[in-house]
Amino acid sequence: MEKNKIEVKPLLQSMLSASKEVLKKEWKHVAPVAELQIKNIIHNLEQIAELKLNKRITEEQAKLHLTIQKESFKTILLSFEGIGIITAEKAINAALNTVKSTINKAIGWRLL
Amino acid sequence: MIINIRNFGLFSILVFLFSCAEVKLIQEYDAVSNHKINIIYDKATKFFVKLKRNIGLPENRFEKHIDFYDDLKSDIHILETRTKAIDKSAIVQKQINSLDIQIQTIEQLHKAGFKSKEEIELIQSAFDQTMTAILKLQVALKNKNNQ
Repeated sequence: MEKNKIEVKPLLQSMLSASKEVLKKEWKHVAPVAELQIKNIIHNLEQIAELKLNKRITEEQAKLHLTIQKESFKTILLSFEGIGIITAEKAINAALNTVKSTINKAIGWRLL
Repeated sequence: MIINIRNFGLFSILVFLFSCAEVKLIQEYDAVSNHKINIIYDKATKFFVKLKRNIGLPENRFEKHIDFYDDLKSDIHILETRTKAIDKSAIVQKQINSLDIQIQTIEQLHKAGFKSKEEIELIQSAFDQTMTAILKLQVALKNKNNQ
């Protein structure tokens, strides 16, 4: 590996694996968008490294930039987690509604 | 007779469960929070536009933007308090907390001074991603309510 150069592919794979681990079942729903957003973050990380290498920012500033990128990535993962929970909630309530309508139908009047 | 009582008991429990069962795993959509999030995004975007236009000029000095940071921090604090009052809002709370950390970090960078347009674009890119993620969840919450 060239010194101070970010290897994009392994980094992308490792961020994707981390995201898959967090999102588990929801992953298949969000994978394409997640991959795009992770690529954007990696592009930003490359730029931070470049600014630091060209001495346009200090190490301290580079660390602060990394904090912003890390927090941004965290927000993205939280969003996917929330959307996954909404999907699960909808599925559970749809199943409960099916049971309700089955019982109502069996009884012949609206009990539930 | 005992079996009938048992069956009736089981049936009653089922009726009770299903009549009150609307499972709620995450908060309901809150229009006020969503509005506040959009206000924050609007203010921050205008701020980034100004910073990029004034790169290298005294207008970009941190001292001239203290009001912006105070204003945004107040907005975030109000949003945090409101979100905490909403049941099952842990995920949105964490997002707002992350947004708060980002603003504080931008402020620290601003104190050190922005020397290039690229540096601001880098921050704005991350901020846009953050706001897209927050708004995406807001839209999903709204759609959940509308169905």
